[in-house]
Parts: sequence; structure tokens; C-alpha cells
Amino acid sequence: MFGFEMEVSSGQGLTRDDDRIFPGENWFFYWKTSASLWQSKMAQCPGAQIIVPINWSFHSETGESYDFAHHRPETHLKKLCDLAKELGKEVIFLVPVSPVPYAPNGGIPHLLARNHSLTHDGMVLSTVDQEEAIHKIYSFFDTRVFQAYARFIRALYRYFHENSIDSLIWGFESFYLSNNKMVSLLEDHSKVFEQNFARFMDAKKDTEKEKISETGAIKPRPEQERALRKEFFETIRNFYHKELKNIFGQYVEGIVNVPFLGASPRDFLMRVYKQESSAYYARQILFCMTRNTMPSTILLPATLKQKSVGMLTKELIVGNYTKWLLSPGRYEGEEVSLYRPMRFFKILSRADSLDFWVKNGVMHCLFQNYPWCFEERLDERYLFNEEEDTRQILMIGGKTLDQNHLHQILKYFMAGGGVIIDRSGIELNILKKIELFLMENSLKVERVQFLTTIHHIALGDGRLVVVDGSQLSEAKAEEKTAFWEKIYSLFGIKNIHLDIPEGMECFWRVRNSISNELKYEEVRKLSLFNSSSYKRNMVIQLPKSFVLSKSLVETPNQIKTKPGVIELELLPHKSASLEFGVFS
Amino acid sequence: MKSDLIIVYSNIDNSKELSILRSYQVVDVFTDSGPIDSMLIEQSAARFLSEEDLVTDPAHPIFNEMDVLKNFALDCADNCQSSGVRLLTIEQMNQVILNANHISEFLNGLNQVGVRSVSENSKSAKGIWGKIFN
Repeated sequence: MFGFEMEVSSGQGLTRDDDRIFPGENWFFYWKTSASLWQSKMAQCPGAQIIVPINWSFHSETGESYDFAHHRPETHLKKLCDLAKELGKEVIFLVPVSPVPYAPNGGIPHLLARNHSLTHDGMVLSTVDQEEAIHKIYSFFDTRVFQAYARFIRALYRYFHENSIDSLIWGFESFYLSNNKMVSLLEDHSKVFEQNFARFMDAKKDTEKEKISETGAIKPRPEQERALRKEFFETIRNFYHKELKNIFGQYVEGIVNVPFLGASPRDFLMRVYKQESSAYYARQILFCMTRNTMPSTILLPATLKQKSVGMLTKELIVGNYTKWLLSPGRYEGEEVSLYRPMRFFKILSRADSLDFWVKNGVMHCLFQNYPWCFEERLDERYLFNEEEDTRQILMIGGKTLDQNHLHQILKYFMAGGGVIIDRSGIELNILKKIELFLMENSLKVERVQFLTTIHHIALGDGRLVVVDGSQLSEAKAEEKTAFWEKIYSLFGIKNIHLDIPEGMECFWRVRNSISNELKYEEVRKLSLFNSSSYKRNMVIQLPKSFVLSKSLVETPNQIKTKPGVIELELLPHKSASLEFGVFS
Repeated sequence: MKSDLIIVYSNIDNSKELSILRSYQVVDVFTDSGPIDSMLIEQSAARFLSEEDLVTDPAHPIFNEMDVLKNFALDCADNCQSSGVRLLTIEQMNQVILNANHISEFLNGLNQVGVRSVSENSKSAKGIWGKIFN
């Protein structure tokens, strides 16, 4: 109307234009603004770290030629790093190893965008970004895409090397969340996948004939085919990962998994009808943190981020968690005061039986007593490290245990760590190995009968508990919870029990005590978020070994403290943080 | 009364000896409030399919006849208090997605595809005054 576009504030002091350039968690979309504005834009960005995702399609329209500061000034990444340095900010580059949900064509050069990725149901995989644009995802199983990707990574490396760019570089794989499962954006059920899978099968048939067709049948059995599909998928995923790692070598720190909230096919429908809720995404952020991934809200609209999901991101993700995840060991001195997620448990799970810890009641008990204070490792092999902190309790299912795994876990136990084995599905020879280990070391086994037989072995500080979780399946939920509470009591976990009102979320973090806090063993930070539209009250009873050392409760929220008791009143869509000193 | 219920389904061709048997699998069911509760899908599907048929994936039931799918769709629409129901093939849905670069284009496109049905028994069916004035 007035001949210019008004910039409307979307909260947190940023304008709508800034939201496009800084869509969340300090991600900087350098291609969405003029290079001449980079410095002023970056200066407004809160925090010391700026995450810069490399936009493949912006540097290569065709997939054949590349622009790194040759034609467009916005491709001058060296300049971007220098400007950030002048501002005292650190740039962390993220290089995609999969399609991305926030760029047209999933971030691939448009000439390569020929084969759409399909979901399991046959729907074109597509996402909605924060500006309500729809992006279609294209298959990374297309050979041309892989070849072009390899060429691009070489060109990118050359540019970084020639310009002596010394910023941190991470690879990242994009995911969406579907029923608490993380699904890679690499996943594809299109014809391209099928054609290449058929070729993979042919190659397999030649080399491993007996493995594929033991029965002499022409087609593999369904479970064999599933395993082969997974193998093929992992092979291609590794091609992309390896390409980046091989070319960048030691310059690439690793590959981080980034689940994009609001990117799932189900979310697509919720989002087109604007039915998404902040509380739904807030819980997803906490879930992603238990998987050591880097959740991103960059697809979500700014209006939604003014609610609980925005509070959680600001309080938990930006800064501390990102530093802890992406640049461990890089901040000498600062490391001490860096909060990391509080984790009493390390759960080793199998991606193909995610409900294992749900059925035996572990998850329910954890959420009641130690909400989000665990990490879940999927299909990962546990390797004992002598310098490892043994305060975490390792939890492992019988099906996950093989000889080597058992060996590593017993080492952890002997070093003073706590281990819980749910032996359901365990192989007989592994069970015998455990018995042999106990006999050889003359370890005393305490047997308790409570819903199932519990075997409890102590060795110094180490605790090993073996139970048969399959016998719990028929038990009532409260019985299961009581069972696991009993088991956890064997480990002497120091914890403040919280009765979290409905619509509220909490998250615990921990750091080492600093010089003026030497009376404390460690300092824990409890962040509370009211995702609901109502005022919430909470009463926290403090055990003797805890003392409230600091409270960050903004008015008009209220906090009252009495000896051993904290009373908190939290208004809708508000948060509060409490710090506790822990005595030994 | 809510807007139309939209049901996206895919055609499945099962070769059996010399003949090809076609069946129809429900992929997505949604209204303008987003995807509907899978319990509602299961409830309606249970009226047309046996328990055995629903064991594998009750939220994505498979029907052997188009008429049964249509009846299921109308039942679902009644349960959701939708004004009517539109059946879309997955190919139609994909075409809508492919032609849209923005949410508004997607919604426009979605309104122009599919076969619409309204149940005669539907709570949404027009009464006498509705018939006279429309």
C-alpha cells in the first residue's frame, strides 16, 4: 500500500524477514538474504554459535558447475566466516547427507529433481516450511543424484581448503518423527528405489546364493526380503556418509541426526489445515534429546514458536545442548560450566523392537520417576571405555546381547557400573556365559521373587541385575512400575521426585561444580515449561542431599520456598528454571 | 457440521492364478481438522470387515470391492459428523501435491478432485427446507 514491505515483529525481537533468514536454533539461511546484509543480520542473532547449513542447489543449479563466490556474492562462504569472526561468533557448517525438508526439491539441483521419493503408502514425500511453501523430496537412490553429490562434495572441499576455512564442519541427516520413530528423509519407496534394489538383489544372488534362497525358492522369504531392503538402504546411506567423510577427512567432525519437527507425512496434513499444536512438538523436542539428536523447529511457523515449543528450544537447545552435541572438548574451561542432559540410564534398544521397554513397563516407570533422564541408543554396539563415567545404569535386552556385547557390559559392571539385563529373548549360550562369569569370579547371587525372579549381583560399586521382563507382560501397569522402582532402588539414584501436573514438561540438566561451589558434588538444573493454557501449581519436596541454589522464575510466575519445600506457580506458556546443589 | 471427509486409497492388484484381483487400501482419512483418530477408522472398518481382516493394520483397512469402500467411507463420514465424503486415489492426491507449491494451492487442488458422496441417512443430509431453498 505504501510502496514498501512492512516488517512485522514475530516475537523475540526478530522481524518476519529475520525469521526467514534465522528460522530457528540459530540456523542461518545465508541464501535468503543479500551478502551485504550478512553482518547486520548475524549481529542480531543471539548466542555465540551460528549454524550454517550448506545449500547444495544454491551453489549448483545444474549439478555440473559450481558457484563459490564466482558469480553471486551470497555464495562467498569464506566472507561469511570472516564476518562472523569479526562479530565474535562461531560458524558451524552443516553439510547434508540426505534430502533436506526446508528447500525446494529437498535441496538438490533442479536438473537432478526427476524422481520423487514416495512414502511407505505411496504418497509423494513432501514437507511444509515456515512460510507455508510445499517442498517435494526427491530420491537419493537415483544414481545421478549420488554421482552429482560426490562431485559437489569434492568442489565444496576444494573451496574450503583453498580458502583455509577452519570452522567446524558436520554432516547431517534429516529425519521426521512418526509415532516416536525417527524416519530418515533418505527413506524412499519409489520405483527408483525398487529398480536399484532389484539390481542389489541380483548382485547378492550371484555372491550369496545360498543365503538368499536357502529353500531353493526364486523369491526370498518376506523376512529375508525385509532384511535385504534394510541392508540395501544402509549401504546407500553409507555411500553418502562415506563420501563426505572420505573427502573432508579429519575436517568433518561426524554426522549428526537432525529430526525436523513438523516434517512427517501426518504433520503435513496437520499443517496444511493449521491444526498443529505447540505442546505436541514440545514433547518431540524432549524425545529427540534422549536420542542424542539435534531437533529442529525451523519448519514451524513463528506464531507456534512463541508458545512452549519456542520456550523449550530457547532454554534447552540453543547454546548449551548444541555446544555439548556439536563441539565437545572445544571450550576448555567453559566445559565445566556447560550443562549437559541429566541421564541416569543408557538404554540399548533395537530399532526393530522399539516397544520392548514399553511392554515390560520400563518406559512408564522412567517417565513417572525420572522423566527424560535417559538416553536411548538404537542398534548401537556398546563399547566399554576405561575413562567412562560409571554412574549411568546400562539397560539391555536379551535379544540385543551377543558374546561381544556381553563382554563389554561385564567390563562396565566390573569397573563399578550398574547394569540391568532383561533376559527375555536371550540366547541360551549367552545365559550360560553369564552363569560362567559369576561362577569363575565367585560372585554371590541374591535371588528375589517379585513378579519374576530377580538376580542381583554386587561387586564393589558395581551392580548387575538380571530379570525376565517377559513374565511382566501380564502384570498391571502399577505392578510393573512398582517392580522397576524396586529394581532402581538397588542403585541408590539421587533424585528429586516430581509430580508433574498435566500440560507441563520438565527437563533435568547437570554440570560439574565450579570453584565457588566445591561443597557440591554437582549442580543440577530443572527447567519447567507450562505448555497448557492454564495456570499450574507444583510442590517440590527436597531430599536432604539437595539444596536450591538459584531460581530463575520470571514475574508474574511465583515461587515460595520453605525448608525442604518449593512451591511454584507457573502461568500458561511460561517457563521457570531451578538450580540445585547436590551434596555427596 | 464439519466439512467433507477425505479418504485417500490405493489400488492393489493381486495376481491369483490367471486372474487379477483388485483391492483398495485406505491410506489417509482426514477432514479440515487434520487426520481423524484411527479409532474412528477402526470402528467403521469393523462394520464391513472381519476381525481377521483387521488384524494386520486396522488403521489402513483393505476392501475387496469399491462399493464396500464407499459404504465404509459414508459410515466414517457419519461418525465424524462430516457433511459428505470424497474418495481420492493416491495418484490423484500425488497430483495435487505435485501441482502445489504453497498450502493454498494444495487446498484449492484438493477441492477439485475425487468422487463426492453424501449418505441419504446422513445427519448432514438436507431437510425439507434445505431442499427447497438450495
